[in-house]
Amino acid sequence: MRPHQTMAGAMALCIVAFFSPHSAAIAQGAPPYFGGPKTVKLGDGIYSFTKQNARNIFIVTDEGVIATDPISPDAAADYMAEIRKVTDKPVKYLVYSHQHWDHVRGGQIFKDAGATVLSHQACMTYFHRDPNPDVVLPDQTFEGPRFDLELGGKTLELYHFGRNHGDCLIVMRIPEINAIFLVDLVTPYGVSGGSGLINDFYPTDWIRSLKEIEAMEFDYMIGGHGPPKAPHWAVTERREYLEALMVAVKSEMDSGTTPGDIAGAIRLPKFQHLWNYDRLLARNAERIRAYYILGW
Amino acid sequence: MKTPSLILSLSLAVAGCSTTQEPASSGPATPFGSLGAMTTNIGDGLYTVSAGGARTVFLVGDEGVLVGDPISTPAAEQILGEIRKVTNKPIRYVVYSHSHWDHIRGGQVFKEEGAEIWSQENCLAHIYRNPNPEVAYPDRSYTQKQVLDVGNATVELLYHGPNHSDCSTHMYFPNHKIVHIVDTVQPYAVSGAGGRMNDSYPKLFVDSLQMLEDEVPFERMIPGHGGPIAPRDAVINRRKYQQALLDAVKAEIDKGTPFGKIPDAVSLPKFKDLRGYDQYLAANAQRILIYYTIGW
Ligand SMILES: [Zn+2]
Ligand SMILES: [Zn+2]
Repeated sequence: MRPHQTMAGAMALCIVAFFSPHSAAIAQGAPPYFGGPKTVKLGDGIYSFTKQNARNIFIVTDEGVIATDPISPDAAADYMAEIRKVTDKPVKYLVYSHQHWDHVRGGQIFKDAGATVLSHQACMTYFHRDPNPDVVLPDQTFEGPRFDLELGGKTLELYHFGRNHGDCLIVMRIPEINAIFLVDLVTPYGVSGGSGLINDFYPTDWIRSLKEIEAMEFDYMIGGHGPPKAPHWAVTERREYLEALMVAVKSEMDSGTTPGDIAGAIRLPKFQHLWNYDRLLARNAERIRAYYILGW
Repeated sequence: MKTPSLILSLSLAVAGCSTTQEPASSGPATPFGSLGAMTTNIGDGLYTVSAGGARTVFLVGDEGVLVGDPISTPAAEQILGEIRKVTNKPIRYVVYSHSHWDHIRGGQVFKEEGAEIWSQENCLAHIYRNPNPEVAYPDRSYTQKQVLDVGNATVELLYHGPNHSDCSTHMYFPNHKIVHIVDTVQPYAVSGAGGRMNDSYPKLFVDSLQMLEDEVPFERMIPGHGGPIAPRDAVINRRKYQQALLDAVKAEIDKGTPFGKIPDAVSLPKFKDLRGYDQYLAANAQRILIYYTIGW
């Protein structure tokens, strides 16, 4: 082993304070949702449940229940109990929003109850490549941009916009309440949160997908983290924040700012009201800088 | 101020800061990395060149020349100049180590010389989805293994699964028992730059290096930054560091250490002599924590 060496000159210019040891939330964070009950009724037979800083939805129909992200084994048990408070109907489907473990662990209890586990086909690569004992493999998948899941006269519309946050995320639209269940692509009212590292996001595809989502018909969104309802414009706000961030980082790079100073130099006054702006803007900017350098 | 050399200098510094690997401390140290190309003759037709903040290789055979990463347009011109100092044979092949722009810009320079560009097939999605005017599209791709011959001199392109990226080629030179590994292993260093392990696959990383060690009888490695050459042990050491990091973070999670405190709680005294240990260990641990949280 070689003796310890000091970093080369170039490194001295690099951001060293990128990572804060005190960040509390790790997953795609949002303003933590402390208020309110864990289950909220959003419409006739339509509910949202939250636990462990994650959120999902469930839909009760005459023929059974459509559940979504189980979150974790612990949360899933609680989730099932909440469903049982409002219906005795069997859970027929468990729909995964995407493959990340902070949303899809704990499906076994639903599988044992006879539910069909469903995800986009593109998630299978990840489930097979990096298995997690708490993650139940999907029984059914769909390919392509849309699949309508129908049960008991209700429809859950599933939309896939390709690569954005991973490449298998589905946006779920509930026509009865004209709302969408939108996980991780938008955490309302904040900058890209949690660790601020913009985990597993492809910035340009993210913006493209948000534009496509903005064009959808819906009155409000139910986030995979955060409050049960946020207005349509929360999607627009996130998209505009990302666009402004990309422009700012690029122009800072083009103006010849010392590389290590770029992330810290970014200011987006139009967005300074966003939750975590002060704490995480520089980290968001650093991720965007990596995009311009690596193409990732 | 906008002289080409300034632009080049800045781009070098940026590349060095933002890849997962920092420029190593060898090579001409300037605040902006190594300026100008520096070639090392390994022997038997194999050369390695440091240019544009990164390192590449070229192999001269009886019938032509094979080049690794073009790095950037100005670097590729310098590399071509270095090749022309030792041979007038045609450039037959360029092989992209992976898809990141800090290594694969400038391929056009060699394409105009008649070279055929190769990459592992998973790179195509990244390169096509995120086009960069300076990145030439690969002409050919392979899945697991491809042998290229330039006349009594061969290289094996080997894919051992996701590690630093999901399309990294290990270029093995059987005559020399040398493997060229870009970014996945920086000899005797932790995962550097911001320590964020951009675009890496934390757990599969270990499997990939293990596969390389098991299947390829290499004795030395040439890295993609710094260098020029390190013993086989550098790969083994990097794999062990990654595994130790995974184990240490997992142990803290299992112990119930609050997530915000885990990165600082991790300590790996066995690896304290690695370059960047003090500066980046916590950031590396943070990235591993995200892996355990979301599976990315
Ligand atoms: Zn996610
Ligand atoms: Zn790279």
